[in-house]
Amino acid sequence: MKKQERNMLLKFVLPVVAVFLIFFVYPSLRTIYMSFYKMGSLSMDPAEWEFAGFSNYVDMFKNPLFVKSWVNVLKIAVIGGAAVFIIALFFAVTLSAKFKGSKVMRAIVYLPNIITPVAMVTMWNQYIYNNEYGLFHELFSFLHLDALADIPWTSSEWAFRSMMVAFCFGSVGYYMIIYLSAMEKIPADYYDYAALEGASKFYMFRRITMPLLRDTTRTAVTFWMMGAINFFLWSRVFNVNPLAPETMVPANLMFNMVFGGSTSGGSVTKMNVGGGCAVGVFLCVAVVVVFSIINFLGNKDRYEY
Amino acid sequence: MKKALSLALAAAMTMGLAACGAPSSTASNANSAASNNGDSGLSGTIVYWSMWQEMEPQAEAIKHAIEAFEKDNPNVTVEVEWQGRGVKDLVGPAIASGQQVDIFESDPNNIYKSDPSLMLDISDFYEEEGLNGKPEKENIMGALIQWDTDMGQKAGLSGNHSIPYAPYTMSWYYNKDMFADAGITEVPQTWEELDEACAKLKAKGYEPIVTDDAYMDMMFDYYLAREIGPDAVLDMVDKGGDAYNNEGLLNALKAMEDFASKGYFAESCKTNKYPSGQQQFARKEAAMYFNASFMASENAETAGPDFPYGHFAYPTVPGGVGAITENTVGGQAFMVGSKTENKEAVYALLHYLVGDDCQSEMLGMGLVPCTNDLDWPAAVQEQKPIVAGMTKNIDWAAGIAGDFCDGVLKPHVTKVMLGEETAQQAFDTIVAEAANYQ
Repeated sequence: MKKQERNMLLKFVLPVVAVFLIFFVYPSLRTIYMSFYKMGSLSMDPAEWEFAGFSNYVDMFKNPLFVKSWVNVLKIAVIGGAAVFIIALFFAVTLSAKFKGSKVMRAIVYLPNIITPVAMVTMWNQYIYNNEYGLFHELFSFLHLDALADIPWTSSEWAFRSMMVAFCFGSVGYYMIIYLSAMEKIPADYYDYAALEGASKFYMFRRITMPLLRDTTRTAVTFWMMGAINFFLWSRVFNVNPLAPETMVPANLMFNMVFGGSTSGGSVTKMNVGGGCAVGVFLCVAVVVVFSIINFLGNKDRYEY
Repeated sequence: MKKALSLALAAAMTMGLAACGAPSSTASNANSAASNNGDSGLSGTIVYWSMWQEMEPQAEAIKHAIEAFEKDNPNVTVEVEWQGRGVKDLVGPAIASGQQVDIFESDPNNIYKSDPSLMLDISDFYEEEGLNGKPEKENIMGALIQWDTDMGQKAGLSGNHSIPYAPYTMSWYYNKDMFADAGITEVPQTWEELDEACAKLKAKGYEPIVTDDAYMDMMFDYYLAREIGPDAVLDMVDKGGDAYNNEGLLNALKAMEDFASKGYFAESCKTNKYPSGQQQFARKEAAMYFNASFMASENAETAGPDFPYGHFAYPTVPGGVGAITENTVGGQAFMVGSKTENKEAVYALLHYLVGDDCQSEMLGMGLVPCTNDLDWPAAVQEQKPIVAGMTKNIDWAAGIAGDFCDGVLKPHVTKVMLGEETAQQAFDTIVAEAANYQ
């Protein structure tokens, strides 16, 4: 019986393992391997690759774009993260109360998540940020807030802030849903008891809700950090020049190096596939490191309820 | 009620099944028809990877050409895959892994620079007679064939490997009414004349030049090509590092600084996201825009049929080595997969694609035809002589591309053009960063 069970298990697990090996482990190993070579294009015959040792990595750290791109990631992770988590938590707390329209509100806050970033970027850039007829311009002009109406949202000077506002707007709903579902699992008795003891709403939030959301927060922060490190699509499409220093991120640099950076017209760039692979490997290492740190920090004092 | 619903559903499903069955039955009809009059002598399957999506107008013209071809060659089946723009990334691995790709489309420059071995040498195609009985090398515009030859030479090849179509060139679009109103009687041929024209326009209350984020650096790129010559620009970009410590680069930046300080670039350039600036030109809010042929069709709806379009080539610059006849021609191209086993049928199909019917249909959509006989669309009519008189091809954006140019050079150029940085500051930063860049 035991043996049969094991055989059965094997049969069920095998396809998953095979897919994992073929589509995840093999490409990862090959990327690491390729990062030690120089090659002109992705489809080049491996016989023509040129061994480069660690020079791809050395060049990567010398590349001013690489450094700038990580500064942007850091800003996304910290500033964007703080904004998203505070707003998401605020919405989660507000909308966890059952009032008329709360469900509709939840749906509305979540809605931006189901729209593709490409459409979102077009909407923000063309209809909200536009300095002639955009929503912000019209709204703030109507309210006679001229300083706000005149903000050049689409200028390069404001590009990073504009991208963050748009991106965070889209992300809040996702984290709100995570928090909402976690909050619903907290037994109502805790609050009832605290209320009987005369605790204020804010006190309850601080002493009951927050501590019991610690595990959820850890998971959510992990998601957010992975997203920040692998930040790509928004940066790719938000600026017409994907390598504009204000909005560039490492994944974007990697894409340019591996696939070439042909933009709207016909400009074609030389590719540096090996260098791109080195950026990819570094991204992967960064994810593992950040994941480990979050796990290490978040593993103390687990509450059970 | 439930019964009625299930009945309706069942009926719908049956109809769906019938619909699914339909194509196969027509296909078998076609096959039987084929066996009846298979007299062209060609047979087999052609796999065609298109860079267009099936709903795009270009796809429509291509489909009609293929239909006409299949009608005349009933034993040949053309399997089209509407791959979209990603085709340039997919075609390499596909051909390398032995997948059949007989014809594919892309910007040929992409393929020449990434992997020219994907393309078959098709020099003999140009010698063959086209549908109108003339050799294709006389049908297709000389500047396009030259462009293909040049790209090949840069990639170390001889002969021709692609058939460019839907070409574009770069020119200064200008509003003829505004020029007339400002008393500008002749289009500028030198930078000084452009300066003078801008001053006159400004005096009349017009915004002289408008642009978008996507095209802002173009004016600078071509200035540099005029200043030090297009080959020197390519050399500079290729070598990197110290090569940027070049007086020509500083002069080009200074010219941009000068125009910026005189207020020739519209205020909106700072915040224009493509296509805002183009639209301002179409709405007659500015007099000039330096852009490619396709801007006219992108603007068609806003500009309307009566827009007073004028075009002139990028002027020469003081002390520069570049001539006014050095311009850009580019476009998409048909290419033949290097491993095709049905070259004869592939060539036959290509003759239909560059034939008058297909090219006229593209013209009808506002695209520029690739053949000599057909006129250019009215809005870009004045670009045709620029292309016809070309003596040398300048790459898109004068070849100023790549990670360093996108990440460092262009952002600083933009800053100078917006008056946020002086030419000297920008030059110093570019030179300093280039030294660190590997």
